Amino acid sequence: MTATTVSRRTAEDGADRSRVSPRPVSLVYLGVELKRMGTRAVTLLFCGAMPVVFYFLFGSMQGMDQMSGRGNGNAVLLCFMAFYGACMTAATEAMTIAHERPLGWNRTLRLTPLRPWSYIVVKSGSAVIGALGSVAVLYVVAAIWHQAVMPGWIWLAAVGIALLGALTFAAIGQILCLLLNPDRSTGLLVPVILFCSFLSGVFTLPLSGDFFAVLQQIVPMGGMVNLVLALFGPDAKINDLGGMAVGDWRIWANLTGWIVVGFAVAAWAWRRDTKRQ
Amino acid sequence: MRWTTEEGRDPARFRPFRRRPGEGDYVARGTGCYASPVNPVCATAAIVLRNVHKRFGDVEAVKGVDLEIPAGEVVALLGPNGAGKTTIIDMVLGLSMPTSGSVTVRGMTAREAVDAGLVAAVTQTGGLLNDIAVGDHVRIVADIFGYGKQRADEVMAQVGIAGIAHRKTQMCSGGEKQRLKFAMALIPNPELIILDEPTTGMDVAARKAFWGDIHDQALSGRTVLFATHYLEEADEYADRVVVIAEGVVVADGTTAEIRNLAAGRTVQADFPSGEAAATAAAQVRDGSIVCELQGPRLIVHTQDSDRVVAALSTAGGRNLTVTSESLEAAFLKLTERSNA
Repeated sequence: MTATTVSRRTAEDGADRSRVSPRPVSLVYLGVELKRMGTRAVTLLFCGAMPVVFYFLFGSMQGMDQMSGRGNGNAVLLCFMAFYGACMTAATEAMTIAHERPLGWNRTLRLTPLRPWSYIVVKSGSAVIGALGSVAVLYVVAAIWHQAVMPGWIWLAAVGIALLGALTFAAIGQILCLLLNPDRSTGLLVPVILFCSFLSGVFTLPLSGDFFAVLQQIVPMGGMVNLVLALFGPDAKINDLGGMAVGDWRIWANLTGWIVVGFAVAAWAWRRDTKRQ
Repeated sequence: MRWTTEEGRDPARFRPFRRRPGEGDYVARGTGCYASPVNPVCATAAIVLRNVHKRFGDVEAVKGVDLEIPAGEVVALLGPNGAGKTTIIDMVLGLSMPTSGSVTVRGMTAREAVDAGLVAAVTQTGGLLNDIAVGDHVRIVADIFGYGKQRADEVMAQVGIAGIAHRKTQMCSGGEKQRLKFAMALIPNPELIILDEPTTGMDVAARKAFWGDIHDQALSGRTVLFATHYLEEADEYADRVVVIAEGVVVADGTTAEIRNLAAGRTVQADFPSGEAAATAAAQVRDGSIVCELQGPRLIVHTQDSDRVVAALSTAGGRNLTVTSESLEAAFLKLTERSNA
């Protein structure tokens, strides 16, 4: 309110002294972030290669060509690896924040009218685009190897799930990198991803008991695992997992919960990140 | 070394240049508005700090600072490392909140002033991304403020970095990085510019060039608050110098007043006893500043060394020595209190 009542001086030098009207989202900033992502191609390629390797490893196991529901084992594995790779890439992209904070970049941004959620959009935007790249690499390999059998719409739906995964882990990565000091956040990110992927059943470890069943539905990625299996129908099961309906509230509470809460916490963390490093 | 005043030995209350009503008040350039530490808040005061405290855990970095900076004034915040200069600046920029007290910038909160583009800053070091080009930085900030590429080119030309717009920031010298940050600060055409030790780490020539350029180009007509620990910078570019030490304002005056302090001499004398020294100190106090009174030793800073020498000699002082004071020494004495 007070800001709008301030009248700016008129220029002696003819420069534009009209009141600033900040952009809600800076496309120039997003563009620079994408350009920077290009310079980290090797790291991103590694993130993209991991799920491809896993796809070959687990996909070559016996019985993966057997049908379960609307697709075969390789198809389920492919969908898992699509979001797993997206999560990894998005989290890796968020790690740039851990490098930027000691440089004082966030302090620089805090001296502009950039809003916390605008920052989140820019950072998540580059993460999502990087994640899409990793899914694209996986899909190209899968198309050539030709082992996955599933309807075309599940191929597409799996990309959507991978996008949700990218958003979730962009938020988780942002939170870790904004709240912890850089040494800790970069060291913690990989264990967090491994923890989530094992407990959620991406790597189909034997999960049994009510405790793990509930935990599986709560951890990030758990919702993605359950949604993929739900897409393949009630017959698609891995050990105790699967059998949920696509509209099951536990799936959507998990997916939206982590994204909404994750970004809210990340925005809060960015707002308070103004200390000298 | 410890400074003492009429008010006793509390160094936190020492203000050599404290203004009294009606004396030493100054008119802010171009505003026709009176503002001084004792006058009512000036409507156009750019920065007002009221009894500001800032505590980090057990450490109190700022211990009750009152400061008022009228629009159009160029003020140097002078003090040694760890004096609390950057802490004060962070609060003026809305990067941190005072533990108690209030900070207003152009009558609004610091955050509102930053959002409105009224205040901008060149921070001490860092604040840049090493792996992107110089021009990218300026364009990002211009875009966030809602300006186009044209405004970015304009400010880069203004501070003389248009030629290195394509260079990676990590290839830039310290001086070029500071110019880049200055260009980013100029984007919203702020009324108030804050520079936090902008020339730290530069050699003398780079420092002179930096100040020369920004002074000619952009500081005129704006309110400027700059922190420095270089006396020459304060002397050359500021209208007013606020000396900070250990979180308090220890001196606040025009550069001329600060220079007067340096123009004086220091007189030392030994007395047979502490009481005799205290008596002598009381006799010479008028017009002089008693720097140290510890045991039988008395150190006095004065403009009129002849009078003080005569008075101390009459009072029984021995081993009288007179030394002239450099600006550096005056500054050190003003700010060096922890060793007392």
